[in-house]
Formats: sequence, structure tokens, C-alpha cells
Amino acid sequence: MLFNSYPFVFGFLPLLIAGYAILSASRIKYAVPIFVVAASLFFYGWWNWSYLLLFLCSIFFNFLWGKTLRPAAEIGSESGVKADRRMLAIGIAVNLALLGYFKYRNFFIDSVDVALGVHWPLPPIVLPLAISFFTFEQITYLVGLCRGEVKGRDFLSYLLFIAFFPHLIAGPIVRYKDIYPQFNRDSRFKLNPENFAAGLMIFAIGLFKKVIIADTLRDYVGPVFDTRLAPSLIDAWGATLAFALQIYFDFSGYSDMAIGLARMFNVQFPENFDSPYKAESVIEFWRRWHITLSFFLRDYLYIPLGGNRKGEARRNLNLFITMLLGGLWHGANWTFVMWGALHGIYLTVNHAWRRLKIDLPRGVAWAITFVPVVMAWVLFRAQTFARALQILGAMIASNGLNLHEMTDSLGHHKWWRIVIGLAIALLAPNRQQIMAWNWDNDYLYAAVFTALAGVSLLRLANPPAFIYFQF
Amino acid sequence: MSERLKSPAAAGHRIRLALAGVLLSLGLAAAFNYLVNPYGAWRIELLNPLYRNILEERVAIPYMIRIAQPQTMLIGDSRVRWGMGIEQGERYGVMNAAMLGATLNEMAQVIKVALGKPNAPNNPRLKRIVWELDFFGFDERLDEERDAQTRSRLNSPWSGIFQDTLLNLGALDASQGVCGRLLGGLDELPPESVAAIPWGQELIRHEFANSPKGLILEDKASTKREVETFMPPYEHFRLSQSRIGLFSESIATARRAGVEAICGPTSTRSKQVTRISSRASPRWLLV
Repeated sequence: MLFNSYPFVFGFLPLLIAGYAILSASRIKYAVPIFVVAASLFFYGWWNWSYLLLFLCSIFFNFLWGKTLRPAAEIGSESGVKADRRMLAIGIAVNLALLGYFKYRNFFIDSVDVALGVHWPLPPIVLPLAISFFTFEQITYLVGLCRGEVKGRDFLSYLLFIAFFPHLIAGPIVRYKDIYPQFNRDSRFKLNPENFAAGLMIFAIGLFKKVIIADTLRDYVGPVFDTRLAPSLIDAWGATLAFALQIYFDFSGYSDMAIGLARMFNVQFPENFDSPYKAESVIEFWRRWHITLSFFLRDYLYIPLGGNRKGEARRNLNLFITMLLGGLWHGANWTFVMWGALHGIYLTVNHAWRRLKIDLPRGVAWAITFVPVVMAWVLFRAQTFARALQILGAMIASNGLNLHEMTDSLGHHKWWRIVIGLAIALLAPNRQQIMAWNWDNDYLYAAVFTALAGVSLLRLANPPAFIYFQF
Repeated sequence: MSERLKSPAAAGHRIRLALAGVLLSLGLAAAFNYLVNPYGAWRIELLNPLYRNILEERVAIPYMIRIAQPQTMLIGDSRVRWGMGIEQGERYGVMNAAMLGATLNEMAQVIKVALGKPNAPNNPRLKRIVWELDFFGFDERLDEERDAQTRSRLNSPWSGIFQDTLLNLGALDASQGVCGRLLGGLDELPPESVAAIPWGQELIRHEFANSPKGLILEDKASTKREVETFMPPYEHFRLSQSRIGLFSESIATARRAGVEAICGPTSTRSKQVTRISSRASPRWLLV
């Protein structure tokens, strides 16, 4: 069930809100969290019930495994800490093994086949929904236990933390230490009109970004990326820019919807996007793009690898490894690995440039950030490395300038959508800034909500999946 | 960045206002789409159907075949869709039920829906089916499951009729188009939009004179691109026996129901003018 679908908007959500309101008034202990968990599991199982069992097993395993872990301060002896860390390592390994089996097994077999010609059969395998997200979130829980960040750990809260439907499918990647206190405060599990109103508006903004902006740009991308034709300069740039905007509005729109939905139920999720295309360096870009993943990679990969504590060369290597694995997390394909590696190189260059302490004019700094970031998306979107190189070549006019040549899908008259998308991404305030405006006038609020939600709901038919849907 | 929140009472008021606003706007859009009925999906005929212009045939056809009562029905893929353009979907008893990229399953299902059950036909007036065959539809590699939406619409109209034809921005756009044509009046419609079917000789001559000439007048680069784009799907054709069986069965079913079934290959000319000619949607002529 996608957030941008009729079953969700007109079925699941109203029923959930109604049930939540009724049960919160009933004074039955735990009725609301159990109801929300049940609804979230239904939400997850909507696609494929068979993977619900796997999901639940993963949750049980991690909760029980967490029982064996304690913070170093509580253990005392060094040998005890070492044993505890071994248990943590095993717990993380089990999670990564599960992820590896479902997400990377065929990728591994295929890569070995290409390299050695072993011709191993490729067994059909369906990627369990959101496995990358719930695996990472459960790792944060296990690590948090050892770091002493986890204060309470009752099973219902843990189940709710992992299964809570707004972040379940595509994030934001939340951490137990941030969410648990929100489930355990006095105002929990009672609809709060202020939060509900704010959540509704955030949801409407996200829905608009997804269905009105991102989905209309999608049609310019496929005809260039999914064919074998050598694209012209204009087509290559048009499709790549369209994809850069599509993935931004798609994913940030989804994140907004998730944040808005959580807010309706009094839970505040961390922000996931902060106008990333306004960044004036690649370092800044990664502080604005998929923020919760960036922080996860920083805290659970880059810093444990040594971060910047072991000299510059090692820092660069750590950055590169982190981005390489970050790329692989996005998908089991060498193109994603190359995309991550390219960003690793960008970051290394960016750090080296910073050492020179040369201030560039803001426009120049923005341009030399934006253009490489956009070009890197080619690797992310292309089906094969060869096709990516073909499109990148076209972007630097390897097929000649051919300024008059455009495919039917990207005629002159359609560029305006890309231009509007760029204008919104680069010049317009982002959702956080919009929500900080003065919304005292109820009629203004209602009018804006009606316009955003009304238009978006009329475009819900045939919803295409989120780009991050199966990451 | 802090958000400005209001008191619970005021927040409750704004939530009610906002939800009422959305429900009202959706209700108005649905009512407008229902009254205008741009896809012919409902039985209402408040406006003259001649003002319709079906652009989303994969949305409209599965619903329209249950409502319209044509005597002649054209079945096929893009060559038929564009070849014998009937903007309204159905006009003067002839319905073009072809769909772009239609698979054999889809075409067979269109016939099945049009025929209905033996004791309860959907369209008792149906007299003949003209099925223009294309070798491509019999290719074993053609993915019959590629359009789940169309399959679902054909299987059960109620699965999506509300979101496809009422609560839909595309339908709203189509309704607006119908109203625009209505304001212009019948005289403003192009002659081929209101002409009798089959067309008269004068209109045929006029259309030939104004048709794009196809590949021959394209420049080399466009020709190369057209060939590179549209040839690969036709390579390595593999004949599917099961689709031949499905085709035969569909024809037999139609004939058993007393409907004449006329089958034939799409003419070479129509193939030439549909995809190879890239600048417009040309027509072939049913005479």
C-alpha cells in the first residue's frame, strides 16, 4: 500500500485514525499501541504476506539478541566488554547476512559469473519490502544498547519502533533512542489537534511533491535511459536533469508524507532533506540529502572505520569506503557502486579543496557542486554501466552538439516542466521553511491544504512506485 | 525551524475546514466528470458524445465497451487506433476499440466483454467485429501481463472506474476539453471528427492530400532514429501457438454469438503511416 494510493488515503488512514481515536478514549491499557502495530503489520503485509513472517522473525531476533547486550559502563570487566562486543558483532552479522542473502545474493552470483564464467544458476528471489531500512534501524538499536543510548526496552515499544508504518517502507531511518521517549510520554496515544493539523499539511505537501511534480517528470527519463539509442546532447541533459528532479521530489515527497503521518500520531521524525540542490559543496550536499542515511553511515560506518582520527589519507579511504558501501546499499548493481565511489571521490576532492582555503563566489561554488551531482545521477539511473557511459558521453557532446535533435518525449514544449522543477528545487522555500510561516489564518491554511491535497488526490490513479520503494 | 502551532480548539477548526475543502473539491470534480462523461464510461448523456475526444484509450475503452452499443467494432493495436481514428471512441454505430500496444489477450478480452454472457449480452446490437491482425501480437516474447491496469479494467469495471473516470485529473482535463469543444459548436470540429463512417470520397481525397507522407520525406537522422527505436521489438519473432489458439477461440466465440467476425492483416500502408511516419497520427481509411 503506497501513501499515494486510494486504498491508503481513503481506506487505511481514515480507519486507522478512527480506531486510534476510539481506542485512546477507551482507557484500555496498551490498546492503542497494539492497534497501531497491528495496522502497521497489515500495511506491510499488503504487498506480500509471506515476508511478514520474515519481518517478524527479524524483529524477535533483534529484540532477544538485544537482551544479551549491555553498555560497557554496566559490565565493568574488560573481558565482559569484549564478550559483549562479540555478541554485538554476531547480531550485526546476522542482520547483514539476511540483507545480503535477499538483496545481494544474485548480484554476487552474477558478478562471479561474469568474472569467471562459472554459469551458476540465478534463482528467482523477491526482495522483502524495506529490508534495507529495517535492517539498518535494528542495527542502530543493537549498537545503541552497547553505547548506553537505549534507556528503556519493552517489547511493545520495540515492535512499534520498527513496524510503525510511516517510516516502515522507505524511511526516514529512525533510531530507537529518538523514538522510544516519544512513545512513553504523557501525551502519547491521544490525537492532538495541533500535531494533527501540522501533520496533515506536511502530508499534503509531500503528496503534491510526489504526484504532481515527480511523477510528471518521470516521462522524460525512461525514453532516454531505457533505450539503446545514442542520445543527443539536449536529450541526455534533459533526461538527466529530469531524473535529478524526479528522484529529489519523489523521495523528499515520500519523506514529507512519512514525517506528516508520524506527526498526526504525535511522533516527530528526523528531517530527511533540506534543499540539497542548493548546496554549495558536495560535503554540504550530503548534509542535506537523505540526511538520516548520511548520519547512519557516518555514525555506524565512517566513525567506526576510524573517521578522520587517523590522518588525512586514512580519512579519505574511510570516506571512499563509506560512500562505496552507501552506493551498494541503494541497489545490487555495479552502477550503484560506481555512483557511491564517484561521490567518495567528490568528497575527497572537496576536503582537499577546503584545505586550500580558497573562497569561490557562491554561484561558482553552487555550479561546481550541482553539475557533478547531477552527472552522477546518470550512474544511479542507468540500467548498465555501458549505458551510463553512453549518456555521460552525450552530455559532454561526444555525439556532437545536434542541438536541434530531441526525442518526441522531450520536445521544446516540455522543457518548461524541468525549468519549473529546477526553480522550485533551487529557489522556493522547502517544506520546513513553509511550515515555519505564519499559518494563523485558518482559511488560508484550509485553502492551501485543499489546493495541494485536492489536486494531488485527483492524480492518484495508477500510482507509480517510489524510486526508493525496494531499497 | 520551529512551526507555529495553534491552540487545540483552533487547530480542530482548521482541520474541519481543510477536510471539508478537500471533500468539496473532490465532490465537485467527480460530479463534473460524471455529468460531462468524457470517456463514455457512464450511461449519462447530458452532452452530445460527438464532442468527446478520447486520448486515453486504455482508460476509456474498457469502460466504454460496456456502455456503448455499436453495431461494428474495430479491434487491433496502434495501427487500427490511429489508422481509423474515431475521436469519440464510438460514432454512428462504429466503435474503435483498438488500443496502443494491445496484446492478443487484451484484444480477446475486449471481444469477450463486448459479447458478454450468451444469455445476457452486453451489446445485443453488435453485428460485426473487424479484427486487424498484426504479427507482433503473436510473438511469444510479448509480455501479456505488462499492463495490469488495463487487465483489471477489462476484468472488472468496478475495480477502478471511480478513480479512473471521476476522481481523476486526467478525466477532469478531458471533461474540460469536451466543454471547450462544446463551446465551439459542431461547426468548429474538423470534418473527419463528424463525418459518416466509412468516409466519403471527397473527405478521403482531402485526407490523403493532407496526410504526412511517411518515412520517405524524413531526413536521414530521423529515419535512422525511427528504425533504431522501433525495429528491435520486432526482431527474433517467435510464433506462439497458444496465442493462435486464443485468437481462434475468440473468433469462434463471436461467431457462435451470431456476430460476424472479419479478420485480416493490417495493410502495409497502414503500418507505414503509423509509426514510421513520426510527425502526426495519420489515418488509414475504412472503405
